[in-house]
Amino acid sequence: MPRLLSERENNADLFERFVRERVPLLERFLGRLRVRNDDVQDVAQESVARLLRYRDQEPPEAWAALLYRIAINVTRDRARSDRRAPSRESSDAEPDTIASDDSPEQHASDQQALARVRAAILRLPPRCRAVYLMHRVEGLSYPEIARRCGVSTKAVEKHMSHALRELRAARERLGADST
Amino acid sequence: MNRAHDIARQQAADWLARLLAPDASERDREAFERWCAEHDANADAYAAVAGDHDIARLLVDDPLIAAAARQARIAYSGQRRATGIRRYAALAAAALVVVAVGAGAWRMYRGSARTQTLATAIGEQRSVALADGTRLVLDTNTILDARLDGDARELVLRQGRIDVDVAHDARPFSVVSGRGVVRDIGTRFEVERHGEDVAVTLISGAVNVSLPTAAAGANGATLTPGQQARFGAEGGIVVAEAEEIETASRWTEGTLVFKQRRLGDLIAEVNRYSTVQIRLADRSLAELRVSGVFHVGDQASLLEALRMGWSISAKQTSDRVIELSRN
Repeated sequence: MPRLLSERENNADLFERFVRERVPLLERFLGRLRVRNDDVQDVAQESVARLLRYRDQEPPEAWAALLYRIAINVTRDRARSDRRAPSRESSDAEPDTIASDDSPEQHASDQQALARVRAAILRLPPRCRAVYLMHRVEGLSYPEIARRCGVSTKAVEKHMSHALRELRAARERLGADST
Repeated sequence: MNRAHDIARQQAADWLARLLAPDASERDREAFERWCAEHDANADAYAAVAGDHDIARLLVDDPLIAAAARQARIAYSGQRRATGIRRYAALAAAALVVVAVGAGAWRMYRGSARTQTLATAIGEQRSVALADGTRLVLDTNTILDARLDGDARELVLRQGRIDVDVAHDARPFSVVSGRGVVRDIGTRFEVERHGEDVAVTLISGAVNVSLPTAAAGANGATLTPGQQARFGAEGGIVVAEAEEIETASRWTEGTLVFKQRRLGDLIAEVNRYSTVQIRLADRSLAELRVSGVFHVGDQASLLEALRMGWSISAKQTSDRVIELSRN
């Protein structure tokens, strides 16, 4: 999506502040995921680096949710490569793991998965679909969607949750189909 | 998939929906983190759900998704209570309008106080109750004048399609359309007009169709249920059995039913409901026979059905045109 330069600059400032505020909390979260103490800083840093790619694509309100996902994926990547190569010294040596597991563009090359998500969105009940698309495509906030649909923001959240669950279910069916 | 897995997926979806809310609080995030730490499967379910949400972002430029988003934006503009000309203008300007047959009339008064002009925008359907209790459903892109006075009830269909369920009343009821007049004798019927071509389909009861200005011998036909009378700018009335009478009036419920119809005809019918026109890039597609039930105005589902069922792909070539071709 094209954005004005000033908006991007503004985004950069916001992003910097977000990172400053979130990193200590992120490290606490990684501890809860039982990431080894020596690895916590590393994982946090890598997660923030991956998040940077989304800075101009996702609104600031979405960053926290995104950072959680990225942090979980980075943690899992590490655990996997630890199992594969227990003598590994540095995680920085494996850039391709990063690309394969976290870049949505990579996932997109799986056209079938993309088609499944698309079909799942189009199959949603009309209001649920409308809510999801207003948020995802139009970038509208819950209160704005609530105003347009004449429902509560809590109802918008319910529709969002339903849509997200259906997307996942459709993708899991895809997994089952292809095996 | 097992039950624990389904629960984790549901909770993960709930959590992502919560975290994306602008009022998500530090307490929400704290609770979320504890939920993630409870089981590895919880954190994994979250990453999976959030990953799909990510993929959906890549569909922003997909024509079907863009069309569905546009449809959503228009259907839920937050101005549903606007009335009159403003509403008409807003709807007419809309690229795609999701159709809802709502109760209550939408009226534009003009001319004599007794004449009411009723109209629908492209993609819109309205049901209207007249003062005498007669119920009308106006299909997409329809303009109709209604005049009820002391001794007559008359509708003038200027364009489009109406379904008429006539209320019993001492005053005679007639519909003027093109050169013809439909006189009713307690009944439900439909009148459709495109230019000077008019079709009258009788659902129940009886109607008489006449051409008052036609030369002697060319006028007058009384229909029995299931029959359809057609006439145009010239010639007489042709009466035939209506095709698929049981599904003929399903459009009044916002549904289009097609049984082994030519794709060319189906597209022409569906296009009446949208300013975004579907075209066949491949002429031979027109002869394909298709069946299905579609919600009027829901182009996205139709295109999806054609893609899944008949391997026909859709490509949006401009704001106003979607082209279909064989995969």
